[in-house]
This record gives sequence, C-alpha cells and structure tokens, in this order.
Amino acid sequence: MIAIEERVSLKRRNLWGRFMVMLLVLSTLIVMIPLLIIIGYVIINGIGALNWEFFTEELGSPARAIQGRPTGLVHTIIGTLVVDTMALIIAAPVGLGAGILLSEYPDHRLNPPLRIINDTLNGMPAILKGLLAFSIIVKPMGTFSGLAGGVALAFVMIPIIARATESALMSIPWSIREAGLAIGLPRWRVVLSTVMPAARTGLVTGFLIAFARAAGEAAPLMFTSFGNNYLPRHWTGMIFGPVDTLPQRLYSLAISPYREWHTMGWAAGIVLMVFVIGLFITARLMTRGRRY
Amino acid sequence: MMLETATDTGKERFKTREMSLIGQAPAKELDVRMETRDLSVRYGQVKAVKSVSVPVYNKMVTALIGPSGCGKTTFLRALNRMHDLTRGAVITGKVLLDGNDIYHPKVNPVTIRRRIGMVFQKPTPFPTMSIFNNVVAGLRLVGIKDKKFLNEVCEKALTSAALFDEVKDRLSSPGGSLSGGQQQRLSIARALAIEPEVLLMDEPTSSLDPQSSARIEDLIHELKENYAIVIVTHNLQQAGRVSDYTGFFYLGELIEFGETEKIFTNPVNRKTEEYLTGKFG
Repeated sequence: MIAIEERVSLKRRNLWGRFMVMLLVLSTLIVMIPLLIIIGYVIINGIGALNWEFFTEELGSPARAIQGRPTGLVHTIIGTLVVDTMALIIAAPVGLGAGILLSEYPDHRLNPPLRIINDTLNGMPAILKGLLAFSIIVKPMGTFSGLAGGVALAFVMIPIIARATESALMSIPWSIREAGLAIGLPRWRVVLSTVMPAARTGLVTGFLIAFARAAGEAAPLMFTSFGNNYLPRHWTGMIFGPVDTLPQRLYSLAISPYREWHTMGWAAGIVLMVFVIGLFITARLMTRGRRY
Repeated sequence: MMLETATDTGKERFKTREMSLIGQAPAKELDVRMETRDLSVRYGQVKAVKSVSVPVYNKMVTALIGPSGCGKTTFLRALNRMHDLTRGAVITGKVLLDGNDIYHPKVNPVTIRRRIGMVFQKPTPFPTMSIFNNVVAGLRLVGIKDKKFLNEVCEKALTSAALFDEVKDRLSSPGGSLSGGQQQRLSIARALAIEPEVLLMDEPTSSLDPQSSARIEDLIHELKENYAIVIVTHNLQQAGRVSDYTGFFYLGELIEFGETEKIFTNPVNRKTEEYLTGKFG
C-alpha cells in the first residue's frame, strides 16, 4: 500500500490549510469593515451636535437650531422608549405563545401553518406592517399615534420573538420534559415550570434582540407614530397622539434643508447606534451563560 | 386476540404461561400489579417491540435484559405512556394496571404517570430548582401548598432514596449541585414523592460509578418492599443481584421470562443461554 505521504505531501497539505484559514480571516475582515465604517462615519459627523442640551431640550422649529438656541431630541429619545416598550408589551406574550407552540407542540395541527406564517411575517417588509397598523389603528382613531407605532413595531417583533423562543426552548434537553411528565405533571405545567425557567436566559435574549431590531425600524413608523417636534403636553399624548422616534427623526432631519439639522441627524444616529449595539451586546453576554 | 375483558386479574393466565416458559409453577402466590398483552410498539415502519405479554408482580423486581436495540427500553417506556410524545410511535395491544387498560381512550395519561413512576438512565434534576423543590415538584406544581406536608414528604422521599443525610443541611441549594450519583438518587426521591404504585427504572446506574451503583442497588432492595419495580439493565450481574424475575428481550421479542434464578442457571431458550454466556450482545 502506498502511504498517504507519497500521494499528497504533508507540506502541501499544510500550505492548503494555511491558505484556507487566510480566506476565512479575509471574509471576517470584509464583514467587519462596513460596520467599522458606519460607526466611524456616524460618530465623526454627529459628535459635534452631542451636548447636554441634545438630551434635555425638544427640537422645536428649525429656527432654534439655525439661530443657535437650545435644541435637542429629548422628546425623540423618550418617544422611542415609549413606542418600543408598547410594542414589546404587545409582542412578548403573542410571540412567546407562538414560540411555545412551535417548540413544545410539534403534533398540534396549527404547528405547520404557524411556522409558515411566522416565517412569512418575518420576511415581510416592515413598511407593510406599518400599513397594516395604519389601517387598523390610525384610520379608525383618525390620528397618528404612539399606539399605532407600537402595533406596527409589534408586528416586527412577533416573528423574531417566536423564533427565538422556539430555539431557546428547543435547546433544553428533551429529558427534562420527560422527567416532568414522569412525575405526573400535565404538559403545560412541564413547559411552564421546568422548561421555561431553564430557558429563561434565551427567552430574555430573544426579547432584547427583537427590541433592538424593532428600535431600528423607520419605515413602519412614518405613517403610524408619524413624528413630533415637541413632547406631548400630557403623557397620554405619547400613546394617543403623534410621537417622535429616533429612526424616523433621523430620516426627517437628514432630508431637511438645514445644515444644523443634518448634524443633529448624525447625532441621532449615534444615539440609535449606541442603543441598538448596547442591546445586542447585552443579549450576547447573556447567552454566554450556562448551557445544558 | 381473544382478550377483550380488561377486568380479569391475569393471575391464572400467567401461572400457566410461566409453566410453559420455565417448566415449573412458581412457588409463592403472586400478586400481578401490571401486565402487558400482546404489546407492540412501532416507530413508523420499524417494529421495536413485538407482541410482548409479561406480568409485573407486586413487591417484586422484574429485570429486563437483552442486547442494545432489543426493545427493552421502548417496552419500558410504553408502560407509563412515555411514547405519547414520540412522533410516529404506534402502540397496539394492552397494558393493564390492576386490570385496567392504561391506553383506554378515556384514561388520562397524567393520572397513569402519577401511579407509575419512572427513573431515567441519566439523572434529570430540574436545573432551576432547589433540591427541596425537585423532590416535591410533582406535588407543588399541581397546587399542593401546605408547607408542613411538603416538608414531610420531602424528608420521607429523600430518606427512602438514601439521600436525606447527605443533603439535609442544604435542601435549598440547586439540584444540579449534587454529584451524579446523588442526582440519580434525587431523581428517585422525586419519583417516590408522588407515591407511585409501580416504579420503572431505565438503566438507572449506567451513568454512575460502581459505588453509587451499589447504593442504588441496595435502594432497589429496600424499595421493593412497597413497590412493583421494573428495571431495564445492560448489566447482567446487576439483573442477577436485584431482580426476582427476568425477561430476556431479543430483536423486539420477549424470548424468555421467569424467575431470575432459573433464567440465569437453567434457561430454556438457546438464545437466552447464548446471551447470558456472552456469545453475543
């Protein structure tokens, strides 16, 4: 028998190995470069507008910025948190329920259609979800509102939460469920009291990722929460009246004809970026924990 | 087959059956707790268990032995309806508990599993629960809140599982913090806490060191005073040590069933003898 060494030399195989690793490093760099460019570019352009007032003042009219009077995006930051939180409150139970059905009830007859619907919803352009919220909330209410924005973003979050919930639950070994069934627990109780607590880190991570993804959406908010240059006089205005949000404000500032507002748009970009990246890093750190 | 009445005890039937299998009637009066009648399990097209009829006697240990893939675990899991969640598993025939078919459409599998406990091959403490909560999970999670009662049950179950002395000072630490052998005894305590009538054990010592295995075997000896026990094991010596009755499975069929002593010393079937003498398996 001819030894392998005589067919393909060890040296050549080592060379191939190194070449392949180099290719991997190259593609990693290509993935990282756009991210670094975005981060760098946004910071360079926006850092000038980031001052104390940016976080404490409302935007007001363009004149404020042009004349150098105090102006900021406090109403936008608050609005973003309010709208996104509303969306999460709506989406979390629905997405969680769908995820549990996907993972724990594979025999249920709604399981296959739910999987298809969820994937379709996930792939559907966000602007269409805005359209949906427009037709079911904005039209009947007769006004743009934070609630409509929350509903639109909830449709963005639901399929993400459902998928994350499913995979978080699936990562828990089947033996845990059998152990629960074997001591005479009903199936729902097994899921609720043994599987879900074991998967809680994964579940929370799913919420965070969905939150971060939705927080970056501008399109569905354009004709739902619409935007607002001021804080509503009363907090209920955040829910039932037009509300400002970061991605939509970023867009409005960017297409405005004022140089000062352009800089503020970049600054809004920094805030949004820090917010979203912060969420993703938190989610990432959380999943580093225990594995079963 | 002709066995439509689910109420006869099956004692007579198995007396005669045993005679035909081992050539001699059992010496003492036996109390049949469970029995299967022509029980078959198939996964899709694959028949894993083929028409097995076997009794489970009260206060006795029944060991199921056989080479890997012979269907003994599949058979065991059919005894407390564990296959209900397995996709594509089809079960035919009957499994009687005190004469009643546990697969009857009107029977709730949850109530069956409260009467027929199970211990698995790998220890399975609930990862987020304390030792105490693990033991009383089967009671607490169905709504029993009486702390005093739960404490009593916990102590009793842990004592029966020969674990109480080792963990009594740290009942609130996580179940996962115990050693493998302790975790397995915790799993047994959890199964005992709901006071089942039958205890199924699927290779309960295969993932344990010899010392822990010996403890579990001692435990089985003590537990059989109160339970009917069915144990699946790969370890022939273990089957010989702990069981009163032994069933030998091969290729999904029950080849031979009878008193352990007789099966081990004087098997009727050639296949059984070959397996016991290590010719295959």
